[in-house]
Amino acid sequence: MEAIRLVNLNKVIRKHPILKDINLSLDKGKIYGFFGRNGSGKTMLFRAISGLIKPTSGEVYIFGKKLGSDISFPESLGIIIESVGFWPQFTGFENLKILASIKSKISGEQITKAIKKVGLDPEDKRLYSKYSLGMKQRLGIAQAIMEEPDLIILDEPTSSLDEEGVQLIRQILIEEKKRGATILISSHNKEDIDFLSDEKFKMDNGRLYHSQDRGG
Amino acid sequence: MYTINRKYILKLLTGLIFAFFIGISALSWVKPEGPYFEKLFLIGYGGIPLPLEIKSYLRSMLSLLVPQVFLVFILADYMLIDFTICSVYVFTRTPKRNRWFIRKAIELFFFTALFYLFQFITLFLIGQISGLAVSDIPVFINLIANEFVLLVLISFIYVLAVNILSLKIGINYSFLAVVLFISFSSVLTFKTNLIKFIPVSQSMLIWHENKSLLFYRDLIGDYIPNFTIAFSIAYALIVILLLVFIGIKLIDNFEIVGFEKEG
Repeated sequence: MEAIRLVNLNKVIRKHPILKDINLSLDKGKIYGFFGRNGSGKTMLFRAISGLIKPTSGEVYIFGKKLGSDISFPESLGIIIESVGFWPQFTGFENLKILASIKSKISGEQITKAIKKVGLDPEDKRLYSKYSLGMKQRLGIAQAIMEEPDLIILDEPTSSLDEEGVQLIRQILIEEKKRGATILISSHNKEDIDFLSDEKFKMDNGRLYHSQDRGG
Repeated sequence: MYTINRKYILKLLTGLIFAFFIGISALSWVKPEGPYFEKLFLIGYGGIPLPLEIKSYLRSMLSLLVPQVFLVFILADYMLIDFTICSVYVFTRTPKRNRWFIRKAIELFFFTALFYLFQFITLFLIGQISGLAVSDIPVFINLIANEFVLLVLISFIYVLAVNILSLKIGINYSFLAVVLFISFSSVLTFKTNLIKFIPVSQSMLIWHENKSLLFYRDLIGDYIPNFTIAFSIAYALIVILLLVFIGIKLIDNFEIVGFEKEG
């Protein structure tokens, strides 16, 4: 089944083309890796797929539904985009509880499970503002997977993690794939992309290339 | 999903310094005129005596506007900070962005009311320590309630406006725009034919036609005929509804591009 289809996707911001004529079809239940230099358009592509920005032209389909007309954002999505941000005045658990209350799909136990899964302590009474960068990133990943979404978009999910954290996240993503989730991941760490991805894509100056198309 | 940050309550408490100075300064006027709480509150937060004279205007306008501008300043970043923290996580879970906006607006209203509650409590304590008495309890309650409602509603307009603007043009420019607006509209109060319709006028309790104020006209000056408290409340509610409508429209069509920041 097709999870994502992009048709002639373009995004122009202040007369500057950010995404250029992108066509893409991704199947359900696979991990897709995206790599490229800073500013190549990876993050903007993820934003377009998650409905955070509106394409200047072109179409985005998520599980057969058109973004912007059938749905305003993917209905079952877990996401991290660039820096992870939560409310600093709450604990990790409280932050996830607030977010989970929006959909009211999962219980406190499932939040606890997601927090434990990323190697954090759900009973930790420290406020988020006291977390280290690595802990913040882990909490971001817990937030992305806690509701068992069909589509997971992770922009640089391992950038602040130590080796043990990287291994843990890789393991989690493999489990999520087995569950049936479609995962899009971007990383500066080529090893992450090579290890995890079923298919790889390179972004360069707003254009998307299948890694087999152009020596990725 | 109210996510009130307690650090803002601490910031509101720093505003007590204004209440202290306003109280002390008002006290020096109240004591020779009759040691009553009503007078303390009318001089402290009731507004500038009419007809306007440059000297009293500057003194009173400063005492009235400085706490208001301070309140706008400390709350100016409230929506934007929350938006930068959580827009991605919240708005990829619900299409109802307007709920987020309305919650934030309610939280800002709560802070605005709390700010004036702190101010009024301080003023009351100053009066208490100085041995003031209430001359007429129903009149006192009526004055305090009207003064509180007008100050909260009008200040909330500024607070909401600065927060909506900051989503579009950033905190510095939006704060500057609102301060310029307040300053400009306060100068416009000299233009007497417009006075009833200027935002700043609405928060001047003593400019309103009100039975309870009649006893104090010698102290607080004239009023604007047919300028009622109900008019000002309706005025404020209409402007607030308009701002909420604009805010919802803005947030619904907002593109979330590179806003995220560490919390």
